[in-house]
Amino acid sequence: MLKIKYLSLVLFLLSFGSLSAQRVVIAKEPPKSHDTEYGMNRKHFSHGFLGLHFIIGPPESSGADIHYGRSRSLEYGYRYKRRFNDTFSIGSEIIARRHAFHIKQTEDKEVPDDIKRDSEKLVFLDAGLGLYKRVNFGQRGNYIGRFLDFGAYASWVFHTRHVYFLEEDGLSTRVRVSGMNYPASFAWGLNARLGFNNLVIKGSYQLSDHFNDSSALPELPKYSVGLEIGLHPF
Amino acid sequence: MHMLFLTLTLFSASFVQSNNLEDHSQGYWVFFTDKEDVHFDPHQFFDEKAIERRIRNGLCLYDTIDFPVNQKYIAAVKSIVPRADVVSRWFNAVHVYADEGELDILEALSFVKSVEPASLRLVPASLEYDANEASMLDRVDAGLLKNQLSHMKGNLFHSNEITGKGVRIAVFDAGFRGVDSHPAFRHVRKNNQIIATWDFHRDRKNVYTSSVHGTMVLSTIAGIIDGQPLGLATDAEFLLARTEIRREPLAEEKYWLAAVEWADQHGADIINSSLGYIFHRYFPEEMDGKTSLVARAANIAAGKGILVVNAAGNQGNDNHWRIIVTPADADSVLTVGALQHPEMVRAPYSSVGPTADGRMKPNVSALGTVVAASRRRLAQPMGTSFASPLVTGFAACLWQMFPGWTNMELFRNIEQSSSLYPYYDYAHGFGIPQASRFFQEHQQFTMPTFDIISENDSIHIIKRKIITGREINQNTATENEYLYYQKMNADGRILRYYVINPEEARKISMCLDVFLPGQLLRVHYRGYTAEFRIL
Repeated sequence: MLKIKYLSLVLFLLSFGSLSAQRVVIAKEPPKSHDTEYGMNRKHFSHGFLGLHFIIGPPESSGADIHYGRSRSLEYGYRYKRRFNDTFSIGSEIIARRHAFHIKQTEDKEVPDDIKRDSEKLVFLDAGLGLYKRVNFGQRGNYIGRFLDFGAYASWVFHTRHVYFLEEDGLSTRVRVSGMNYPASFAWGLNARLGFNNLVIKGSYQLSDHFNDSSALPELPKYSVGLEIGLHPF
Repeated sequence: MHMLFLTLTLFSASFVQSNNLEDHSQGYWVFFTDKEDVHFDPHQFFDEKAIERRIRNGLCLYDTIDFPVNQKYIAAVKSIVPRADVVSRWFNAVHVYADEGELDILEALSFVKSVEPASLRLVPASLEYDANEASMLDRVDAGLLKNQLSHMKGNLFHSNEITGKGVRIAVFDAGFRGVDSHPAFRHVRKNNQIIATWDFHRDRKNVYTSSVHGTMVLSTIAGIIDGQPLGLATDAEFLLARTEIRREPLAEEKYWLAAVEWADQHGADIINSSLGYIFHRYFPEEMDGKTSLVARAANIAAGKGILVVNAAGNQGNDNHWRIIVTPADADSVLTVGALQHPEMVRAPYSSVGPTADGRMKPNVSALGTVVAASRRRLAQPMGTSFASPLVTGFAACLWQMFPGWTNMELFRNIEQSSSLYPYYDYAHGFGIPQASRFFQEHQQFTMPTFDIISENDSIHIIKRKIITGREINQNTATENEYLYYQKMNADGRILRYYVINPEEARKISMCLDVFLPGQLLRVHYRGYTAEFRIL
């Protein structure tokens, strides 16, 4: 149907056979009706988002201290929202994340080993799915408004790497190791978001461990808090 | 771990608290059942000009809609809610802030007809303005300044000493910073043309604070710089109402509503509103002229003989909105779209029609980029905000010329004077109002400028040869060579509309098979409109 519509429009424009020297300044089709199903405060809505989160909180056990501020997550995703009424919605999202933990070179350092280096970080890349429930506040027209989300996620850690720098005789060497056997293959956790239109503050807690049981490594901090931007107009 | 919980808890708590405050500060209109036991003396309540307008329009001076709201009802409501502010005679209502428990009590009162949530946020219909305001006339676009009034043939008003004298214009805006000091308003101040002012947010007379948006709007109605008028109604009288608060994210339409009643009371002949409500409260399908309270109020004002002129809105580029804002959607509001300079076709930001219920809007168009007085100097702002006051000035001049006209006669005459009339589309309405139509020596007969011919399976639009210019209609302000055409269905609904620049082409052809039998091809070119029905 849509194809026929566009075809007829193209035919209509092409029908101006002798318009070679002419310029179309305005060409408009008045809307036949307004889409009442899809939109920011309609039944269905979906949008992309970008997030930057900082790892916070103490490590789960000693020997896994990190540099706060430099240790952070980048998040990209696409979110769907199904509205039930002005207050309640549920939704799902697909997410891809990159977490970088900058390891502090403390005396009792154990992650990922007890060797002291000039600097080092552990990077986890994962992709997964999330589900959430949204509570909206206040009256509004066709925009997102203020909301509070509670959600859970699960993801597959598809890549990890250990990156560190060594300085010897004035030469700096960057070493990158991947395919380690100690990171866990899956991650899952809880999150909460507080938003006003496309500006969102997000907090997350990873319920699962970063390392598998057999590694016996002390666990890294599991909390993060940061900002997210919804990729929609306002 | 505890830190995160604490952080999240604090965030959540502050959010919930802010929403509790929001609940409490959520506005509602409480509508009453009747106006029994109230006293009303129109001669005491209304300004003399408001009485004159009612008599001129054959309206009853004792219309119950103007009666005050029963003070006992207001007192009873005030005893229940923490705050009640705006009272509307026209809607027999009071605006309150209440929580759910208080709403239940209010709804149970025998004299309360209904309680409805008030809407949010009003948006000035202007875009960010050009920061280049370093000096006065020598730094502005001279071509734009010339075109500002001449595109409506406004110089004819001024050469005939028609300057809106005796017409009272209410301007609703976000603030009039600098109107009390800017040289563009020296004559306005000197001649005491500002009759009354009111800041509806702060409940005080001083409106010369906050935003400069109203200053720019007023200057495009009445400003003069170095003897050069920026608007057409330089001698009109003014009522200035500050109805919008930029700093408050959830300002409400209650101020617009209060201002329209205030303008009526103070004898406004014309209201210029370069403001509109959009997505903060409404959905596009609600732009039907009936849903919003401000649209209904604008129609009541029109019913009382006031010409309400409103900007179409700047959502033309917004895929989530696009159509005109409210109260520009109201049937009796003269809705003004914006043209870009120097092309003189719809500016891309200008909201388009039709209304959600299919009515034609905007009604007319004017330049959306203007030279206007800013706080201290001149600026070149753009937006439908500035097209609207240009037409307001035009209307004031016309009303000075024809004081016997009712507001709706004025409305229709402005439409009929416009450059595209009787052709219209949803981007330009009837086009640009033309003063020349009202000066006999400048009136010209519309001559056919093209022919429509059907031949085999084609339709041809053939431009007539222009030799001296006498064969074409010079009574067009657009001064462009654009050809406007549209495809309409049998009942007159526009299916598609186009503006093309034919340049050197003399013949424009199209295939007949893109039309269905009964459909119409409607064409406008240089002041002449013709139709061709497909058989």
